[in-house]
Amino acid sequence: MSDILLSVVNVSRHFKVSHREGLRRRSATVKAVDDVSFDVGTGETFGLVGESGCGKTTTSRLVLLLEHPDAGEVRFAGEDIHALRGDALLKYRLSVQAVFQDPYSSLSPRMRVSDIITEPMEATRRLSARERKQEAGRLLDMVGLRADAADLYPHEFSGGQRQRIAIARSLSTNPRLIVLDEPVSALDISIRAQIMNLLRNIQDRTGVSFLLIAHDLAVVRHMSRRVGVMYLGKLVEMGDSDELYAQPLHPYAKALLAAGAPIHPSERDKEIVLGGELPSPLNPPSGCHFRTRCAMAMPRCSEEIRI
Amino acid sequence: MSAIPENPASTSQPLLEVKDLRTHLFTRKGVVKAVDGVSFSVRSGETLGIVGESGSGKSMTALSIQRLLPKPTGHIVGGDIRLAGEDLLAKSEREMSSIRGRQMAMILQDPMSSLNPVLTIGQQLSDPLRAHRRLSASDIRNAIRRLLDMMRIPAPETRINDYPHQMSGGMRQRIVGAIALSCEPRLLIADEPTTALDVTVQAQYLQLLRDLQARLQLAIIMITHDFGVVARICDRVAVMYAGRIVETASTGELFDRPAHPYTRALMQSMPSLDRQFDRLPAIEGQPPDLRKPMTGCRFAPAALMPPPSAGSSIRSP
Repeated sequence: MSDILLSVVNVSRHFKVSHREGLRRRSATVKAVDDVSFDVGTGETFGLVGESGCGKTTTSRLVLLLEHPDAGEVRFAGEDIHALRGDALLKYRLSVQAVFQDPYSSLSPRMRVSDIITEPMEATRRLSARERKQEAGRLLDMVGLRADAADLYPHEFSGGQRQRIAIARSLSTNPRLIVLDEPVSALDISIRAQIMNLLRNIQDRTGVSFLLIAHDLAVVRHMSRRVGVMYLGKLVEMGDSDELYAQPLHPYAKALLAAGAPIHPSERDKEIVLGGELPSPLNPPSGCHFRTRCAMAMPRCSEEIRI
Repeated sequence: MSAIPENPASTSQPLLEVKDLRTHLFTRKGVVKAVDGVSFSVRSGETLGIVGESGSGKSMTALSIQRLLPKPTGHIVGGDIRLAGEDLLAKSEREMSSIRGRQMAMILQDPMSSLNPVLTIGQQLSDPLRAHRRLSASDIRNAIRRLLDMMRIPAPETRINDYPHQMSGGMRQRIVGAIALSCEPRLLIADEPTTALDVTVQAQYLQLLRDLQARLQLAIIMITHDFGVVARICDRVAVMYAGRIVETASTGELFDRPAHPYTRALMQSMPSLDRQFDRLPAIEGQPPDLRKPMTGCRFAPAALMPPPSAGSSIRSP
């Protein structure tokens, strides 16, 4: 791997929640992220996959400084990001940007595209009208939109074009890392390929790193060289994506791969479907969290975690 | 348009026959030809997939069959829809409301918005039973228990009193399925029923639908943009583009030999697990504006391999 840009080291984020049981209130802890570690190299894409509720978005929020870890630390270029103050903090915020899932809610409907995409730049200095126009033109060109898009409002664009606008905004501060939280799952399949290719091209050109959060294994496969699989707050498997996809080791990774794989209609009846539901994170199974849905579970799985 | 291949396993009359359906939306900005001459049929026990991107007209086709088009913009301006031989376009509004739910039912994409958040699921399940089947209170309770059982909801006795927010997404979508199947319809129209679900839950749900179909001899129209869903449940597939069906084939045939350039492009642009880390062949450009008049093949402007005569006549694939 190339030099490490972002390092997540034994990070945990636990939420205290209270819920009602009959007339009594009980408090419980949800271990949204539990002792998770991974690295993202410079110019590299690291993919984090899992089902809803597995903690992948909380992990991304920890990186974006929207959550504070209860244990462990997140290091960016060697420094603990949650200890940054003053100028160093501002510098970090400018170096790390995000693109979210829904381009309908992530763009302000009352702002023109030029104002949307240059707004992050204004965190450090005021732009003159001419500069703004020039910068907007440059950014729009990077994402494959025409310069005259700058004067329009988000509602005048399709979903795929809006996602391009969101990407342009994330590029405005010349970031070193972009957190992509489900960047294509709200888009049509034919548009997905366009946006995925665009992101790859931008990475080749600028050397930016991506932390890609997705539930679609095929999307992650195309975008990233290294992948981590999360289940109920834990990273259950991590590795080179070629190896992981060819030979997943953890039974959950296997099941997830099988369910997400585009099968041929003739293989329909051979498919093994994972039973049961994701257990409540309030009360996860003892021992290995996956044992309640695992085809290979045995008695000792309730006491210890084997892999 | 080529003849629609029939399912060889079945020789019965089709349950639903749609012929040359034309549905237009009369908007302030002009007339949108959302469905522009669509024909297909579905037999009992068979699943027909309708695949296409947003705006291709697949959901408008489903709403036309149910006669639930947005008012006052949507109108069926031509064609023929027959369910078990009966002309649905000749029915009065009153007759339609006894057909909907009883003869055909629909499952929508988002189970959170198709369930009422302030009613228990027992109350929501009893509505169609009361409206269509006029059962007594104790019969309704039994019917609900059977339905929850059929949809594999664990502990149905206690679940009856739960509210939608107390359930997971997969379980909610099974409740929506139970409501749809409560009056034993013969046709089920499912519009992206698994899009909001996680992949492992999605596979579970499709397996359940398949089991139910075999048991109840349901005809299913599965509207989706996901070929993974098509492979897992559909017998035949119709691919829609810009208001028209561009290709109809059996699922195996479509996967092995997609005929229309659009189908081929769509299947290639899908990321797959066995393909390496690389660029995808994307379909560039945007689908055409359905308010503008079009001649020839609608995919021609975007087509990767435009046939020489694509500008002049509609080519059958």
